[in-house]
Amino acid sequence: MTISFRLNGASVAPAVGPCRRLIDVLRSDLGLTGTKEGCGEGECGACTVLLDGRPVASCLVLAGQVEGRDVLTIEGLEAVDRFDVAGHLVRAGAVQCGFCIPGIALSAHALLAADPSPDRAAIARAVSGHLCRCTGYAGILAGIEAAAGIAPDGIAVAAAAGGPRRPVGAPHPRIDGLDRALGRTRFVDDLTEPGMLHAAAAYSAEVHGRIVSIDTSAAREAPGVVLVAVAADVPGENAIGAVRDDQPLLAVDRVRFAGDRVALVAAETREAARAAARLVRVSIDPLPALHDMEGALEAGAPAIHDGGNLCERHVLLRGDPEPALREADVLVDETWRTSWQEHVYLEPQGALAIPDADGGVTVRGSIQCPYHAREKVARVLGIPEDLVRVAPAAIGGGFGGKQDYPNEVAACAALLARLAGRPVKLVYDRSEDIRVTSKRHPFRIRTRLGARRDGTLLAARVDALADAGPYAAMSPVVLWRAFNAMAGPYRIPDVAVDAKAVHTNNPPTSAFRGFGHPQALFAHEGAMDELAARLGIDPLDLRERNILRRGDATAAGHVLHTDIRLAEVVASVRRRSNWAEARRAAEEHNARGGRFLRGLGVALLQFGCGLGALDEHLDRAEAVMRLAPDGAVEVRTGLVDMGQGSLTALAQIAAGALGIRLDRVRMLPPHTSEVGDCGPSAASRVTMVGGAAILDAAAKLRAMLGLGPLGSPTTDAVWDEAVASREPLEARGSMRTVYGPWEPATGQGEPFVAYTHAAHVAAVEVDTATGRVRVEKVWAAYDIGAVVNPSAAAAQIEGGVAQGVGYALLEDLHVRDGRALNADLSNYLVPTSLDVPEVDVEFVEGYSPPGPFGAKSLGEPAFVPAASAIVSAIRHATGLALREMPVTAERLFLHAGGRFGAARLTPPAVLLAAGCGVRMGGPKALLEVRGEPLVARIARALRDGGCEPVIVVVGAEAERVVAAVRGIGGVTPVRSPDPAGPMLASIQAGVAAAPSALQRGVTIQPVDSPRLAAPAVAALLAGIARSGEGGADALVAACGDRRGHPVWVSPDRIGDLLRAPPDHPDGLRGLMRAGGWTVRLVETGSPAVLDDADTPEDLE
Amino acid sequence: MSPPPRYERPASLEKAIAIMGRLRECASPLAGGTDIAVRLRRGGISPDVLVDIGRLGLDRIEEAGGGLVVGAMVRIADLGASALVAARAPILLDAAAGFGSPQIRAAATVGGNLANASPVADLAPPLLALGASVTLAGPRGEREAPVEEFLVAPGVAAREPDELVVAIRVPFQRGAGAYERLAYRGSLSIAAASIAVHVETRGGAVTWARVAAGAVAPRAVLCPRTAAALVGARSASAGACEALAAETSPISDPRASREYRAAALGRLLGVALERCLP
Repeated sequence: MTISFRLNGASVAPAVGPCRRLIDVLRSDLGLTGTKEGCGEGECGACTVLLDGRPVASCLVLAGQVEGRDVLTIEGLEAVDRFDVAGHLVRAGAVQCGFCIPGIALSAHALLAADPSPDRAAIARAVSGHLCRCTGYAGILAGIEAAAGIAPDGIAVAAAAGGPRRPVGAPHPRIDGLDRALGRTRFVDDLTEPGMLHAAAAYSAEVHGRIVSIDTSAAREAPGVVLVAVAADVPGENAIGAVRDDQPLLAVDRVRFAGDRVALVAAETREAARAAARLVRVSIDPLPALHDMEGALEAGAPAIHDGGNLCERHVLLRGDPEPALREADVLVDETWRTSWQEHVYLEPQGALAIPDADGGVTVRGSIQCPYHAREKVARVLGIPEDLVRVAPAAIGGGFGGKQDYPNEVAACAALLARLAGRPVKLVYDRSEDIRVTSKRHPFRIRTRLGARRDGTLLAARVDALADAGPYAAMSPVVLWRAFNAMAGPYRIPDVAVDAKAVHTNNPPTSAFRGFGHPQALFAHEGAMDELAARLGIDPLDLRERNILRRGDATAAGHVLHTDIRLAEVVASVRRRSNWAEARRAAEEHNARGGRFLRGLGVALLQFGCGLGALDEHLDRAEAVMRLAPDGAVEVRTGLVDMGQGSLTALAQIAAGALGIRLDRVRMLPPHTSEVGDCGPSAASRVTMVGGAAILDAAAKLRAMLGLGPLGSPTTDAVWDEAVASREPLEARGSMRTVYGPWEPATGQGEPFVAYTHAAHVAAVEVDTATGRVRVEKVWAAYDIGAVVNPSAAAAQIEGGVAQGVGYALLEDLHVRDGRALNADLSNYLVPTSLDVPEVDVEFVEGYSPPGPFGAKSLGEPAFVPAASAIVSAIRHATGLALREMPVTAERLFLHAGGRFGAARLTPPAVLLAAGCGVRMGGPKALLEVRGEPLVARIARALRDGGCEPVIVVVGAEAERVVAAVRGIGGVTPVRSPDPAGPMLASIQAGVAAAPSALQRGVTIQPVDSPRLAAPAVAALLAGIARSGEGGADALVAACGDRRGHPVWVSPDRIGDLLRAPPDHPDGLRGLMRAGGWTVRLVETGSPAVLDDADTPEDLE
Repeated sequence: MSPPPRYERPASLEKAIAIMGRLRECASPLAGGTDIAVRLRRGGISPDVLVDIGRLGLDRIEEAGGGLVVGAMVRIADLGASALVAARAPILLDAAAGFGSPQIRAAATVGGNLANASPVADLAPPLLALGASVTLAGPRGEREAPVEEFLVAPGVAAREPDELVVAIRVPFQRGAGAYERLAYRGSLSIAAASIAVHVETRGGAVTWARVAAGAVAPRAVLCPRTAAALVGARSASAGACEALAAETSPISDPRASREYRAAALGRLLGVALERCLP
């Protein structure tokens, strides 16, 4: 059967089935690969084409539906692009990885064809069906405005002349931008080879277990299947771990998460491979699974690996914080939590392996670190590394997700290619990509931060846990970076940090833009906000008072002798955001009441540049420079541009070093056989180290040409004369970062060679009707040393802010029992063009050795402070402490309990009671208040307050109460093993019997008081104190009088006690302070329902 | 791997009905396809035959009999751009504006959105509030079904296997309406809860109301007790919110918890009502 339609102005009639997806017809049957597939479900927009002039998702259109109609794809746009949309997008800096741009160009074209002069809001709406993960949409909107003639053309001036004479420091669009915008750039799924097979993987559905059997017979017999591989088919070592040998490529006898790969299928089509993979039958004997970090660290917890569940630990000790924390005028002691974040690079994981005649293999793919992929593939195949050639394809976004994970994809494709003797391509489906690839680490960080009354920081103690998931992957390195960042960019004399990464059976976690920094920042900036509130000091003033300045030492004891421009960075955001005035205006607005609350918040960043002392041995790079016959210079490094624009920055550095125009530099793609090991394209190091290697090569080439050292002036004429009638010349440059001393036992020394500093101020508006937050504007200031390409650098920050909006507000991976429940782009939400703020960027420039031209890191720093600044602004708007991220609309709404603005960001507060009295005729826990059992009511209030309701049931009626409480949703009753014993002992026994995660959060501390029944206070303290290791919030509810009789304590009454003057020795605060506790009060909002008659008497 | 469905594209409504009459349960009508394409890919459905109803002339919006007749194949984008709809049933513009994305709106249809009987369908609450009905055509002729009877359960509509949804009839309502949805981002966002309010007022107080809610029950539901509680009110009273809670039964899923859905729905009732009041 054929389908006849107009395609890009010509009639076509491909022989395809009517139910074939249009995207497959275009990409596979007609070879038009400019239409990209990002999700297959109409949720990302990458596959957009124009159908009768209107943008549609070609993954949702069936071939039969286009019969007789008109289809325009990106390949046909250029011929009809009277608005030059593609060119404008490139010049406006809209093109980073470019995977989303062809679709966006088509939507923009359709918009302008219908409405030649749209306003910015209409443009933002028109592209709101396209997800872009790189740019933050600012360049996209600007490009379309320019195409509409309502804004100036991007950086046309610089581009028109073929680049400025001094390329470094000048804005320049991506050198390969137009190819990306027009869909000509080949990503891995756009590549095809003669005889190519398609692959798919079968995964464990269990989170933890022993493999009993793997039955591949049905898969082998499925139509189109060529071969099925299991662990026994691996010719080399079945090991793929990034930094530890703890992970097989194909599971052997054990699975550790719902996503462990058990078999691989190669088939003639992708559909056949995926269908066959679903036929692989795996029988697994489940083992006890671990889903919380504290539980995984307990003695006796099932071991996920032979060495136990502690994946990594880093300890830092500078001075001794304990005395200062004890004596501090003010102490913040809180725990901050973050969740998993998914990369959502628009291009899913993929690799294509081609068997070579010499027994080796060539691997193309979406690969950020080709040298690591080479090493792992060689190992799996059992062949020498030089037989593995890794040549990354264009990469459609990485953000760390294409760092170590692609080793697995490459090894799978290579294994099948060697076994089949045919090229094999493995490309992930979006849902698979979300379910099985690694994520950002959830952290639980308890920070104790002490200060003097004037705001001077005295000491900090930080205890952090990171969920490393089933395998180490990059977790040890992520933890190392996070642990170095825990004290923030502040001068703190005494600091202790204890950071642990813990194995669980949760989704895997590994590299993600920022490497633990965003989590560390969330805690230290949260602590600064709370400290500021307690001291009554403006949060920006508090920060400014304590920031690192020249000559100060970091928490690692690294004395910053070089220029440090953090003060200027802070001054920049203060001035541009009109900080004090804007804060006051927001507060006045909020005081007037109304549906929307406004706030301004801030976050400061210090980011170590380069890989750091831990990976000193990897921190090297090489560059090859060749003089081509046409007088151009070809430059190749082994470093990868995932979309961040480093290829352009490196070209600028090469041109600048040689003193030639940018258009005389030709960048060649990375290839492991063409240039020596450059280490990972990670840690925001590409421009820094690649640029340094290029400078070295350039110096050598200049010497060969007799042009004098770097920096001596060169003109085109001089250059032309020097290169005239030259034989081909080649210069090889290299660099190696030299680190100072660093001591692993104490974390003291010089972990990094330089630091990027940044500040973000965010302005938000909170909708109190829904809890939804809009980020109105972000002011960002950066010290990244010299700015190689200001337009690309600003675009990195705009994109970082957009990812920060997602991380702060939207991106909430729901993991239950180790499985992601929202593994698709309609339920895992990243920001659209309608969700991002205006971003105002300023660079505080300077020269920072040792980077090329004095440049430092930006890629990750562009993202890291964004989310924390947004949450800080929500704190200002709502007065809520907010110690858990993301602050989803739901979390904020429920946290506020419908009383936005009423709360104050002060220490606060606490807890409440429940219990199970038996006096007065029966268990009162079961009393109903307006139709709802009291226990349920209190539990609900606690959940709203962010606590985990657990009821420890004691007393003579415990059995009955437990039975009844079990029927109440959302409440975990724990029966004390000794319900009838003395009250305190009974509670202690009950706590000991509680789920392990909660136990850690509970400490019982008897306090003797002449005025309060000791057991009652003890019980209160038990609920109040969330001690150690960031344990879960817990409610221990039970109170008793001096005689051990159960009593009810009214939340109101507790509130009264807590509100006693702080220094009153008999007030509850005074008592607790004596016991070393922090007082917290979570209001339940539920008036206690007690018989007044029995309360005071029992309490007194 | 199940074989792809057969595909029929009848050129007239008569032929389409004849095909439906012949194939009955074996046939799945294909309108915009935005939902069916995803379900085919996920393997959620494996229909024997897809009957493409895209070329039957069902894509017109007309005024007739004291109301609007919206063809089943009217795309959401066209609904949202219709001057007739803007003049006569502007509440539908609210629903069209928040619907999917520009690409989805260009393909998805009014009929498909209703016939899917998804509890989160954006058109359902405003159509319920407007008192709209569905026109079905089959071998036994045409019939009208009020939207509240047409929507039965998640994914289940009161469509006989040989029937096609051909149009939606929207009676003109006096007064004003508004549709509010709980969504977390500006586009590409499935509503976690939604509410449509249509009221007439005198002197700032409600004299007549219809209220319908989406994503808070197995199907989009009319909320007559909530509406009754609004009569005489000038804002969403506690009584109306209590009635709304009683008339809905939200669940917890990754999009929202039951508690949040219920609480936010009450607030959105207030927001929607405020927009309706002069």
